[in-house]
Amino acid sequence: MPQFNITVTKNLSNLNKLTKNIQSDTLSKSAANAFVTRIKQAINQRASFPSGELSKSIKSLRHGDSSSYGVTGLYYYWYANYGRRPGNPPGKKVKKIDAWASRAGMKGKSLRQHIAVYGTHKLLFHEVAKKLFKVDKPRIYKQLFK
Amino acid sequence: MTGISIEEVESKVINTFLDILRNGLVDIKTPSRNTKYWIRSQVKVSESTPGLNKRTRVKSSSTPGFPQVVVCDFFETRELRTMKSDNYQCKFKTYYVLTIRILDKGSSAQTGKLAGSVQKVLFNNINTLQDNYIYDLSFSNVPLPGYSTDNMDLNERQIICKFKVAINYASI
Repeated sequence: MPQFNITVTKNLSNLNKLTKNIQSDTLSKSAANAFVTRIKQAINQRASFPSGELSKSIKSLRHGDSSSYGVTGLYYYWYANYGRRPGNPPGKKVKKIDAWASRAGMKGKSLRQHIAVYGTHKLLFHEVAKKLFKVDKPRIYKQLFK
Repeated sequence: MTGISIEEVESKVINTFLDILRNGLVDIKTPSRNTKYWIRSQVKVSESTPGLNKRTRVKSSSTPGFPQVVVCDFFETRELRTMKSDNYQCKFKTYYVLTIRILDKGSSAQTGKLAGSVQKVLFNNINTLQDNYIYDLSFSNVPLPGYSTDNMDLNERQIICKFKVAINYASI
């Protein structure tokens, strides 16, 4: 009877594109959950027409056997946070832009051109969340920067 | 002493704060401005079915002009079981947090002045709040980084109100 050797390899490169590390694993579980609620609060307050996808994606996670927790979110969190300067259009690999364009009744190409001309506004969710976290938990505020 | 039932706590607290602010605050630039539009709630709660309150987000574009005072983000932090007594129907006081956003364009000093006057109005109406079962109110006034929309740059300040609400669990 013939024998086959089968090796299974994991390719996590595509998965890494979907989520982004927002906060490294330095927080306790309750502190990480508090930070997550602050970020969600800031997104819901500042985004003019939130679809809810970004705020839903933000979660507290523990990597491996680590005892402390971090925070992750969708890959475009930092683009929404700091905005984008006018200049080159975003690449075609950023598929989310096509979805946003179709929701607004536009084509993906025209939205990319619009972003290239005007850029996008910075909404600074992360800075707001950090300030609100400082009010809520002043003793462990410094753990955010580790 | 009866307290508020858990179903109506969110809508009642938000409406109490809105009423106090609408009666006490005046826009310094245009005193005749209708407070219904510039002092508003970001969340509309309807008590259609008990236990399943319907929450809808009010769009910011529906309200014209600046400055704006927005009451939003009401949530529970923890329970304090101090009032467990046979003399009271109300058994619990529960900690809540309410956020009041103050948005304005122009200089950030104007936003700070408005935030101060919001705090003063709430302090002056402590008796009205206690009639609505809200106790031990404390504030923290947080300046936040400004942000820009399509038309203008906005300054923001938030007043985070922490308080206890007497909840009546007797009906459950």
